[in-house]
Amino acid sequence: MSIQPIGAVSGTAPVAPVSPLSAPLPPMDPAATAAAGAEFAGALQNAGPVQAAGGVGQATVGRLDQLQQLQATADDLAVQAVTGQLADPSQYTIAATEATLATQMTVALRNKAVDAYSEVMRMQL
Amino acid sequence: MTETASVTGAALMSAVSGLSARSRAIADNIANIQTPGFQSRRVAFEDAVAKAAGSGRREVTGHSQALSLEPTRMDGNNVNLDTETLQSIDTGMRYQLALRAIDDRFGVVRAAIRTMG
Amino acid sequence: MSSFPVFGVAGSGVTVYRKWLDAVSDNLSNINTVNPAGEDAFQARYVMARSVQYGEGIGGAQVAGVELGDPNGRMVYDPSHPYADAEGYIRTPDIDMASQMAQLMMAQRGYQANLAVVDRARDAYSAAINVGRNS
Repeated sequence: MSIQPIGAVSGTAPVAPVSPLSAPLPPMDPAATAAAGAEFAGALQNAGPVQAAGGVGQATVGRLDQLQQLQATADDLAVQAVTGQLADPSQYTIAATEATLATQMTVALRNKAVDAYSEVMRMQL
Repeated sequence: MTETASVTGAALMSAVSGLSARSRAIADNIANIQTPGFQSRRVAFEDAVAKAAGSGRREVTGHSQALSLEPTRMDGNNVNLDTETLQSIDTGMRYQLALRAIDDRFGVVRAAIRTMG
Repeated sequence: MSSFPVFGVAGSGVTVYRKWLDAVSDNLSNINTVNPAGEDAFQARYVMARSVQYGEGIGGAQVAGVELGDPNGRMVYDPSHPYADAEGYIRTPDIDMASQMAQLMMAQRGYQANLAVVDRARDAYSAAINVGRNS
């Protein structure tokens, strides 16, 4: 059996040239885009552990307020401890540890948020 | 930034200097336990510090020294070794606590710097 | 009020027991003090303790007062003694050596117990001061 040379391809329709755009794309509807964005953000919030209404920014601000409160409590207890008004020194040391840990936690969360933002900004679209 | 720039910081610094003055007074008292006519010294700073911090004043308050009103022995001396020893332990621990409080306040700044950017 | 109230409480106990030790040692050192029959005998000192409440559950002990022993003492017949009266009697204090020795032991143990409390409290407070420091 010998190999047959390939015959000419027959029966194909000639390729039509790409037609130019007949009309420009319609402009994006700003209202629709905003609605879609909000829907996406809502979905993100429901999906993730961040429940604050205003997203990460609001959550961080809320944390900072809470942090300030913890610091103020620790400062109050520190003055009471050194002036002898505090019956139990562990009250102060526990409050101070709480405040220190909360600071570290807030800074860590802020750094994570900044990292996530940078990551998104680097994303190739 | 200096530690005395806040009300709490100033109160803590006042307490530390008051406590170290008290430690010196106790050492002086114990050294003079056999000195005829010697009266035990007492250092007070708590009320001044509490008042300054309570009214939000950012000042390093001083301490005051007074003579003990305990009854004297026959030689006019009223140093009491077990009271002084207990005072010395109490002062030492309060010194530790005050220094810890100052260090905690630095620690917050330290945490912020360490994890910055 | 102190930041470390246990030191104050245990310290008050230490002071009470030290005064008791002082009293017992005074009693023992005067156990052979002889007085003429016409005078009072040496009176033994007995320290009375009572509890004290400063409020907020911070208590302690304090010396409520010192009771004195019997001024009549015991009359002992010892005609050769320089203080002996016409009938040959002298006045010696009414102090029981065995009872004083027992009190000495109780006072010493009490003193040590209060100092042991101070020691333990120091350890406990050190732990409280160092909360959260090991991170």
